[in-house]
Amino acid sequence: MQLGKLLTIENLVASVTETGEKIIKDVSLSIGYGETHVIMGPNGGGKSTLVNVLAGRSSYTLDSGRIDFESNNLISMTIDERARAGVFMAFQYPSEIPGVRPWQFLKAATDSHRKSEGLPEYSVRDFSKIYDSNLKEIGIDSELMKRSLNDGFSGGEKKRNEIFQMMMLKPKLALLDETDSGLDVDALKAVGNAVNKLRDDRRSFLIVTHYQRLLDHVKPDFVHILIDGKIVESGNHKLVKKIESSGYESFS
Amino acid sequence: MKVFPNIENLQHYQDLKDQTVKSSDKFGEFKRQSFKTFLEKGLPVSGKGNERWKYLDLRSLVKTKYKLLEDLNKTDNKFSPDVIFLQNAISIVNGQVDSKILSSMKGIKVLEVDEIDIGGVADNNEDGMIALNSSFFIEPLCFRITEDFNYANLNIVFSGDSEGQRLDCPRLFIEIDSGVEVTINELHVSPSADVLKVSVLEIILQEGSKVLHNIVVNGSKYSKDFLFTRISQNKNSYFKSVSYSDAPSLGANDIKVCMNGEYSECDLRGLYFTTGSSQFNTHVVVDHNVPYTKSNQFYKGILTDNSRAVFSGKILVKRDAQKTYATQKDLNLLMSKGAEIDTKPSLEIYADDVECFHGATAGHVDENTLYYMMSRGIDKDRATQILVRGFADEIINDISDKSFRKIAVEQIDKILPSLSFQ
Repeated sequence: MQLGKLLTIENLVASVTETGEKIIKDVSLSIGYGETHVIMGPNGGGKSTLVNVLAGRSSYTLDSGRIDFESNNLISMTIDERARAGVFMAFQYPSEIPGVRPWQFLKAATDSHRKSEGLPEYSVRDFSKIYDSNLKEIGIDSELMKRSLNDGFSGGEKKRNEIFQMMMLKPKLALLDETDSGLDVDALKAVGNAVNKLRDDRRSFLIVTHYQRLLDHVKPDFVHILIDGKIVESGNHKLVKKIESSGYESFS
Repeated sequence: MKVFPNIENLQHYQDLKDQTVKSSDKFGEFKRQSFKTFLEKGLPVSGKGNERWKYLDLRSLVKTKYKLLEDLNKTDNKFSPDVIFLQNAISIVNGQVDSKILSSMKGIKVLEVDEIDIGGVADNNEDGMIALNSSFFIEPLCFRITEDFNYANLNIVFSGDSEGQRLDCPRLFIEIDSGVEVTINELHVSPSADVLKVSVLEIILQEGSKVLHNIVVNGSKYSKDFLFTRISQNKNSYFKSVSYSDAPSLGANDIKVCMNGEYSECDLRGLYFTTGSSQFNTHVVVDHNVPYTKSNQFYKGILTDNSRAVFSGKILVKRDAQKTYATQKDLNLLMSKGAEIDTKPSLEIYADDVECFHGATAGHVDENTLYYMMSRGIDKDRATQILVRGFADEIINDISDKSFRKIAVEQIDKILPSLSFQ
């Protein structure tokens, strides 16, 4: 049986709520189950805005278009409802939350997910087991996680922590907003491995990036170029090479 | 501008004094002198010129004619908080206590009247409230903590029955022997009645002693809880105070520490959590009187509904107090449009070789942080609760006694879900 699309975006137009400035001018994109898509493009082209609109950030207004996530109208859902339905975003700039321990935070998040799926909460013991093994895999020092969430974490540690949360929450659609920027070679590899390990025929990724480097580890199925709020070209991973050699100017 | 006390109200306290004065009272003369001071000062009224109280609406204080409940036997004493199981617990009911309880505690020595320098640390002239307590306390608890009590915890529980319009004036005078280290837990469970409680605690830390002082105030929406803590620190002593106060209708946490001995250090922390229409005043003063002393003030506020809080902190560095290191911080989380904070950090420095820092903030819950948390599937109310708990934990986790900390944590967890954050 052919699976349908996980995410379908049709003629999306979105602007900054405060200023009214249009950032996404006309974007249509569909992501099938198990696919990994990459969005590249120059600064200010709307890449981060697009993933933030998908996650539900309130500082953007949707002017027109529709977004379907499985059988749900994503636009009508709150941020947390989207997350529980299976949308996850790895933030470019994760918030620092004083006084909140990563363990407590993720336990609360996991409990919310389990509850909406009609499953019982994990026991502290079971949860800790999963928590510790994922932590080890992504290579985060458990001492670091005794601090408040992201508090005093380096840029690289924050990014690893985002991927760690993705591993814990096992989303259907993971949005990675410039997760690779600011990462050293080892961290990049760890992130790449974590993404590859989670890839299967049900889970999809939408990766926003400036560089080819992460794509050396994670081979995308589709690559889109977003310039000035519009997707100007889509293709396979060969498109990345073209960008690396001739820049974005040839597309505009 | 001079603030004139409310005449009619003072007459009421004059009558009260006339009824309660006893010739046998060993503190009779002190009380008479204190009452004179009280008559000059009166109960605090808000208004210009009264720096400590000017941001609060104190009219209810003078409207009510509070009475003393003099005879302990008159109280039905139904109230017994479930924390009495604590070891070394002193229960102060309606501001009164039977000091015989002290004689059963090892390492605690009841002071004779000539050993007690009552009012020596808490100055009546500082505020009418202190003078009021000094005029009307029934039997002060005055004792010395000796090395036989070393490393133990003393639990003092203040409660009262719900007969309203009552004035409770608990008074404690504690001396800590040289080199002794002790934890003093102070729990205030307010009755659901219009009880005006003015509590004064004086502590003298002798050389090299160490006190961890934890305060929890569970206010009620009728109670008025005013806590005055006055500390005198001698050489090499260490004093740490961590307080948690939630929402009496009107209240104050008023702490003054005098650093009188070199190499002494104090660390003062507190969280005020105001809800409904409660008003709370945090007033913290550290006097650096001698060189080589160190102090820290770190306070936080969570304000909801239409509540109001005031923080005024002061670091005073005297001319001789060179090499003082002092910091002060007050951070506030405003959870609703109707909540209001007035925060006033201040430094008064007369020495030239010191390091002092201060800062204050007031803000709402950060939208980006909420977005981040919700993007993990946590709904807005729960995310807000987690954020507020995290904000509170930075102070609460510093309550040194684990079982006592639990009382504060449980109280916060009880209040949080009942709140709606706009």
